[in-house]
Amino acid sequence: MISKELEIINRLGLHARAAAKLVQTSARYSSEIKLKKGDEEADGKSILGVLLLAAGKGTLITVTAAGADEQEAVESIEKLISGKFDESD
Amino acid sequence: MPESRQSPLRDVRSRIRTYKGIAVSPGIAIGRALIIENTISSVYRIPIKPDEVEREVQRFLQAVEKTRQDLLSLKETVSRSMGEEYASIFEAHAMILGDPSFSDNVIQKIELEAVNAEWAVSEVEEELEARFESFENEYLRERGDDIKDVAQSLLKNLQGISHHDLSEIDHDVIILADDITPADAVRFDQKPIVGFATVTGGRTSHTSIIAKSLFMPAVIGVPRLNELVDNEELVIIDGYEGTIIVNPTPALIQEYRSKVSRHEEYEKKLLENRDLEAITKDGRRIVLQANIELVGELSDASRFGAEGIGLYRSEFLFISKSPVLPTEDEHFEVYRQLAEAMAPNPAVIRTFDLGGKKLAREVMGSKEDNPVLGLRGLRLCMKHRDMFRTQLRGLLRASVYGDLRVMFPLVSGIQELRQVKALLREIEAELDAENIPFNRQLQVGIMIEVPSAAMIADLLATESDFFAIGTNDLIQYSLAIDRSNENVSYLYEPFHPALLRLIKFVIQSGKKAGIPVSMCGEMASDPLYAVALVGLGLEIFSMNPSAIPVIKNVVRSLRYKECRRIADIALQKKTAQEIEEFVIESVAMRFPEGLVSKT
Repeated sequence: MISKELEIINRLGLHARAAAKLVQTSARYSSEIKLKKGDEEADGKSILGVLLLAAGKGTLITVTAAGADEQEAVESIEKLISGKFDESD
Repeated sequence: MPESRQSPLRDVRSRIRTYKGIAVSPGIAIGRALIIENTISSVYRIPIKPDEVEREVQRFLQAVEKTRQDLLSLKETVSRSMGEEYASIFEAHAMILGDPSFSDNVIQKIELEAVNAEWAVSEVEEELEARFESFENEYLRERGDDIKDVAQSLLKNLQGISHHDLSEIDHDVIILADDITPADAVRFDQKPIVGFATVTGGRTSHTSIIAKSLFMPAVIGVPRLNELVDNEELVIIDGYEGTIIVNPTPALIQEYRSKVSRHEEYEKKLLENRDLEAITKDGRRIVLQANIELVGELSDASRFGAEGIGLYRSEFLFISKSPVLPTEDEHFEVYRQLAEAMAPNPAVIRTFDLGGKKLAREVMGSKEDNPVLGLRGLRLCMKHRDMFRTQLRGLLRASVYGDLRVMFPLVSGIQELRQVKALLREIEAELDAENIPFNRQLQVGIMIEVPSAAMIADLLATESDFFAIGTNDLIQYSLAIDRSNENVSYLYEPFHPALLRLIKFVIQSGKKAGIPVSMCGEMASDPLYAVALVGLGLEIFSMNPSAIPVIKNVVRSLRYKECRRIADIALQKKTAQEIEEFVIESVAMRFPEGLVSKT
């Protein structure tokens, strides 16, 4: 199991389209993926769960993956978040 | 429009009503009114028998599947017409629908409480919305709207499955709605629906984009439409003129039916002039260009014979991506396509003309008391510099692919022009440093739509590469008239002597400085005004693509010398009415059979 703390840096935060991208990315891996914001935890493969984290810009999220492809999973998610979900700002 | 002046619609019986809106999607549709209420019908808690539970769950799952299919096919449609990024919201909605934490909760509720699916769905929706409402982040708080959209589509389908479906209606239907949501749009894309009209929506709105992408005759922005029309009333949607006719006489229906077929023939005939030059009988060459909003309209521009894009309204790119801003690559890609499609003719990109009434709150933030005189056009872009830089970088990068030109909206004086040119130079230096190629001779022009700019057109011409007269705003600002305000709209007079003088001065100033002057407002596409404008010396007209063949025929039937005489005399007249009467009379004398009318 590996964990990594990441900051949400895109202007709009984890809105519907960004959450959709994150969930689609998570779904590509067999590992179990959890996102944690403070005490709240969400299933990285549930769009509602991710949306309900209410992660706006500047929020710190801990991504945890457990399974055969945990390393790649966390890396992909990190790439997505640090790349601002391909949004321009 | 000259044809509406002698329109049979004036001679009406009291039962007929005509309402005016904005034409966004051309065509004629005739059908019975079907009013769509904004809210779905109330949802009641109906206890069900234990042996009905299984069937109720199945009904729910069926509705989920139907809604999911609707959303995905909507995604396809929208993706084709407006691009993948805009369509992705529907994919997100489909994912929400398919999220087990949503559907499992609903099923659990149906089973545990033995209630109808509608009730279970709206309960789960409410619980979820309550959680969104507790968010501190305002933008994310509003994402509860996504949940609401999904639940509404689902409820509509649930009710549809148990009761009736639009497809059961056996006559043509015109949808009348307060607004159309993307979720509605997919439902409109089916058989009995032939056209629609909405209360909401300006020319630059999401509603307008959805309307265009449905390729269905539509009129939007009709005030109080829902109160004025009853269900089942016969309605004609005239998507060319932006009018709605309720309870037309049989004769009028006949006329419109033949208008449809005549229009097809007429368009075919008009298009015969596609490869002919727009040239007056005495040899004055006029250039006819297209105003477009979506890349998808490029094919129209070529089909109707446009010699370039005189106005690409880039704010549609903004609106279609909202709330996310378009990326530099997205700008680049769109502008490159425009430039390449039009080469060797020019493609003029007007930078974001946002603000006033057309602005997403995400960028604007605060509300202004007087937005039309507030932060809009170039001013807004200069304030939101990052967003503007992204656009200009994308545009500069695309400038090597054809004759791409940049144009700034709502310039009121030289200082603003200098500032934005300095910004352009900064970005050019950046690109140079990064070894990214761009056109060093990029033509930089401005819209002339503020009276102060028109009055110093001679000064502006020394620092600008071209002018485009935007008549809609120029008229509104010069005459202090909001055309959409019915108390004063009668004073919206394009033939006001002040306007003619301003236009004449702008054209002359351009000519003296040796820079091209075009007009891209609505005036440019009206045959009657075109006569006067040719007379005032205008050489470039930019308009909706479908208007080009008409204006070309007009131009080809004119003599420049006569037009000049008409313009000279018109300039001596004292009121808009005198000018209009005079121009109509002169045209009638020279063209006893009338100018080419649209249909």
